[in-house]
Amino acid sequence: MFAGEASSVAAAPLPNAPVASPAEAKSDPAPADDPPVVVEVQPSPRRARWFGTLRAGAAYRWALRESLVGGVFEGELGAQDHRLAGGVRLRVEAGKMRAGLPYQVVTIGPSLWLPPIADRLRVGMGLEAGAFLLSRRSDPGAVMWTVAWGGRLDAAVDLARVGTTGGVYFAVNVAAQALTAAPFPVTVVTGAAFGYRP
Amino acid sequence: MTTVRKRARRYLQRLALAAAALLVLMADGGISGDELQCELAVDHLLTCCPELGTVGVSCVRSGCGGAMVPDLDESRADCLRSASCEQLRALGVCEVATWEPRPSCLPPCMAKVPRCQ
Repeated sequence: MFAGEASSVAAAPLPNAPVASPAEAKSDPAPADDPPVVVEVQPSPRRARWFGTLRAGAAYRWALRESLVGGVFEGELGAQDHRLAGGVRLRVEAGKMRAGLPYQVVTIGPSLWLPPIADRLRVGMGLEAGAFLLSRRSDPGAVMWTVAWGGRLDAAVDLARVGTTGGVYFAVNVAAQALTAAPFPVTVVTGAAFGYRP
Repeated sequence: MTTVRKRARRYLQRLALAAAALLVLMADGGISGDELQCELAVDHLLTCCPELGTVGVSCVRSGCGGAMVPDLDESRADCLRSASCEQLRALGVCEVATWEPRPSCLPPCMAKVPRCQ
């Protein structure tokens, strides 16, 4: 999902093998035919860097006792260190109720990505608040709307590296939100998206 | 004393923030069940009868105590939604001339709604 993790670097079989520290170099000079030395490169945990990502995908939502299908665009901006990433996430979803009416959901809230739980696999979570809008058919251009707020869980797997730090990944998520003034007060949404982080 | 004042001020600020957030949550327009059913019925109506173009049906609920209600009540909206396009055409719903005055409308009433039984 994001770069800056601890990594093991196998030193190339150079004529003079790499040395861990100047002190070691003085006390224990390595013979020329020693095997390659593995040096653990640990970035400083305190070093925080910018974190940003964009995602686009599809979502299935159950709301107002109806099924809704739409497209999603998400952006996150925040900070990361070698383990965690977090920031603010803006999410825009637009689509159509299967029964016919167009809808839009716009939310914003904090997000947090945890350290990897498996190779290239990360999970995240977040809170979000915003508005659920439903277009009127009787009065084109007018909308009915209500406040939506809730939480979500995400999982992302890296697909390909782009450049030195960037990458493309695939993410899935599930979220539940409360609707403050609606015939049924809960909406559940699940989705899948492809993302890019610079 | 200064510390107590600062704490009190912070507490009041948080309280005001929470009250403002609550007001925002309470102040939204909301989606009422009858408005939703009315809009879905109008959508079905316009899908089955594209020649209608636009329908002069209001699905808005507003006013103090809901004084303004959707022209299509929930039972009529359910009836329209559950009917197929062929049934709606057979009922004459696609011809505005066959529409009837809204039952709860007081004269002089201009609002007309499709029949559905």
